[in-house]
Amino acid sequence: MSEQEHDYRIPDSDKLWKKNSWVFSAGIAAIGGILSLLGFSSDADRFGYSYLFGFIVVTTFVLGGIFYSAATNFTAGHWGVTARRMAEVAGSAAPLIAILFIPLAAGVYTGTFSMYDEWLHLHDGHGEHGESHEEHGDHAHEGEEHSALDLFNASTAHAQEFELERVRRYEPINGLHGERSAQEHAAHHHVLEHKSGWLAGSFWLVRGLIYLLIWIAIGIFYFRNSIAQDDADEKERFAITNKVKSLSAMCAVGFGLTLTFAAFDWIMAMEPSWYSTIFGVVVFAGSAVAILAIQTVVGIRLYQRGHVGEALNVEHFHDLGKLLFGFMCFWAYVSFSQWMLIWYAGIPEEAVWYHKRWGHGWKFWSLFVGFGHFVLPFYFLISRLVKRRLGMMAFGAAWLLIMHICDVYWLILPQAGEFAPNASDIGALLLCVGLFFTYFFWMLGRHPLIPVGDPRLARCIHHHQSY
Amino acid sequence: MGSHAAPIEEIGERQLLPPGTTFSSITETIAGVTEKPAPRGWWMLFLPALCLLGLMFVCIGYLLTIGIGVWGNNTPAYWAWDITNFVWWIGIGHAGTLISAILFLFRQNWRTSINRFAEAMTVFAVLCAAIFPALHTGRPWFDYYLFPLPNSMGIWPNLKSPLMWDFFAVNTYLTISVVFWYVGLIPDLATLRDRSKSLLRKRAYGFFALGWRGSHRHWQHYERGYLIFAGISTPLVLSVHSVVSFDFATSVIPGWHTTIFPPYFVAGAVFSGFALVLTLMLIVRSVFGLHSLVTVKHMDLMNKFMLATGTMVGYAYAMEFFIAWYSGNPYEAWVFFHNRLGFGLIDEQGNWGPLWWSYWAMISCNVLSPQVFWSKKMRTSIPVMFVVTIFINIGMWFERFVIIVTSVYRDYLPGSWGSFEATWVDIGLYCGTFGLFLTLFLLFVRWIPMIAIAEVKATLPHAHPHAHDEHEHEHAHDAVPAPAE
Repeated sequence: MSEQEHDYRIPDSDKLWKKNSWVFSAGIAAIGGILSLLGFSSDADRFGYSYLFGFIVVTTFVLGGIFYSAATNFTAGHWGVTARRMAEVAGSAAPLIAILFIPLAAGVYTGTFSMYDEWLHLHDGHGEHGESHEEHGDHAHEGEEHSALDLFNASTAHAQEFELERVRRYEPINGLHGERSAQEHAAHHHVLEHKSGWLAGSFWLVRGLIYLLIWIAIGIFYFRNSIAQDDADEKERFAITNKVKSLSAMCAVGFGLTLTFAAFDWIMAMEPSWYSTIFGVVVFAGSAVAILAIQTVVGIRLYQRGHVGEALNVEHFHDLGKLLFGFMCFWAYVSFSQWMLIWYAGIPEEAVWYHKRWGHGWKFWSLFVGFGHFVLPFYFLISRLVKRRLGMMAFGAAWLLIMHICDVYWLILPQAGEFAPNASDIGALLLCVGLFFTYFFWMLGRHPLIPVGDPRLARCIHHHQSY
Repeated sequence: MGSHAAPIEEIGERQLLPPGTTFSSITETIAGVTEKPAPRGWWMLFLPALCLLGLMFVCIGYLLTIGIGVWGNNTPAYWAWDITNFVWWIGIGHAGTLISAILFLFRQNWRTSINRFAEAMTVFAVLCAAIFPALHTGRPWFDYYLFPLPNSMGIWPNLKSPLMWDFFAVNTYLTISVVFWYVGLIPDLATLRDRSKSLLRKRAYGFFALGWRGSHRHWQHYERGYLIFAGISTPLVLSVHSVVSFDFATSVIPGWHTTIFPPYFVAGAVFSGFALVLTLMLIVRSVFGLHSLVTVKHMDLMNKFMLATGTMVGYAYAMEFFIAWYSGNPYEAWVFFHNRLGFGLIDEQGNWGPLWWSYWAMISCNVLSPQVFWSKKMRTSIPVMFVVTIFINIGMWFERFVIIVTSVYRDYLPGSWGSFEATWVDIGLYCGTFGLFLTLFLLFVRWIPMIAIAEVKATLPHAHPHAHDEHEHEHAHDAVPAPAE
């Protein structure tokens, strides 16, 4: 059969996929770059939010790729083997996000981007004050035990903060960055002071670098080993599979923790008094949806052009579709849990997150994300028929990919104020996503499109659905 | 068989069941348990179980006579052992649904040796769980008010209350679990019917086998029904314990109100459920000699599941702690650092929260003990896994105790602080529900095929209709189970 002779590479004759795909992506990135420059020069602070948006979108692609690589390795399943190469390539783009992080960190540290200002520059006017306020709960230092009296003093200030949050919530608001009274500022400051050590100064940056290093290490680890396996002899192939598998569970643990804290540091931290224990899981669910959508869309196109033979066919897309559907539901489940619990309890410092996403023109967008990322695709993708019709499946996956981007937009931009999409949002998105796909398509053209050396490859190619 | 389907030994793949396992040996082993006289080991478990069941009735009778004041519940610990036991038992049930539904959708063949057993545990565990909230209403004879029944007084359940959501979630779960379990049983009940030697057995199994003849049409309907039930049950695995977690998380009580509760409770439930399934499976396997059907390979996989879910639970503990500090909320910090952790925050007398040890029991059992499963040697050692699963069961009980009691017994104002001590009725009732559970469970293993005969057969290589066929696309439907013998 022709499958046996297939080399699973994009042939040179296919200019569109071999070259134009990444050149085109680079062109998109260039356009995005120009728009970004324009956006930056007109309103650098607003551009900071746009850039963070583009940066987080690409970060979720990379993290999704790492997740898929780790999960298919430690579960040792066979059906997902051939779709894994795309995830490995996405995961190996981790150095790209490290590069994209540089402008973000530079903007934050020079004060050009203000999204974390309440935190990062906390110590500016209050240097000596801040150090002595390592309040309740900091158990890192032995002997720093606090009595209930300390706690009570702290809580009085905190109660003020509660009250002021309430006032801020129910009183008419003059713009999001409305002037705070001196008293209000002091109470708010107290809460931030308590955790200032966490986010302030270099610690935030150091943590960011640690996350990036871990992702680079894991992403490159999967990619390198898989590429090495392509050309290895049989014995070596088994050895590589065993090695990768034995480390995959550890990789998953490291990945989960770094993703969570990155979500806290880069997204949650924009709203200084807000917190949610499930937030890392929400970002994780979105990342999984993103990578599965990319694999499905790109995979279907590669299949239709005949580059992957039958190694990725309707049986595999059906399974990818099920997993995509599953993670989409999981995203809805964790997002709903977060919203419902915060809404039901109605604690002002928690509700502020949704408050910003319901007023100021964002209500429409919140509903749009809820319906577009869950309700509509739920009824579409639940059908077996849809998952096995490649055109429909590709449409569904592309739709979810776009909705994922809309979801990241919803996470970031309400912090900038009114719902007012502008060219710098589009510019930053095109820049980051364009760069990602430039790398992604360029790398796909250089290696086989599926892990041809995987011992489970034959089983995967012959995979079929029993129901 | 096709070369690609064979296990690749070099990467650690093994045939699920030992070589030499045949359709007939499977039927003989499983059906034999219900046909031969009970071994001594069964009686050694059954009689103590009956005693415990008696204890349960004594405790319930005493409670109904005197009132729920016989429990240690007090102000401010309004919820204590009762709700702890309720959540613990509900959690135990989750493994059954996960194994029968989710692992089915993920095509995990190894589930077939444990699913029936775990599903039965689900049903019995939910029954045990239901006892506690039913009694905690104080006047259980009015519990039917929980149903939205039309009545002349115009009293309706308050559907804004998570406790009502719980009532509906648990009832839905019980109903679907029972039906799913029963549907799966039908082909095996027919097998027992066909093997019956006495008329009574034949009639009894025949009645419940619903006229199953193993025809293609029957199998086709069965397979389709099974898939639909798996699809319906999958969201239930998530919804039930999520709703249980809402009982706590919708409040504003520090230690209860946290957004990670729903997935954290689900992971914990699966964790504890797997642990109890394995504890009991190890005992039953040795009492009835099922070593060839429940192999070390199965246990290895279950232990991996426990390591994974245990790690998720550990992640949730870490998030709660981190956010308790990060939120800057002093009450939240107080619950975590004073009431639970036991250091960092002390009271006016300079003491830690007196129940700090329960938190550390939870951490040691749930987070530390499963870490031994990183080693394959430990995952495949029966004494090690037996001990660890028991630790996990204990740890998961403490988890619920920690959440429920340590969040409320020393709360906002020192003037309203209290303590909690369990009474003999608390302890007796909890032990008594074990009696109920074990009695039902032991009757089940004795009279109903405890392993899904037809499903296990389908995992054998020779069950695949085109096992020798190289044209793989020919066999669009693998895993057509062998007919009941």
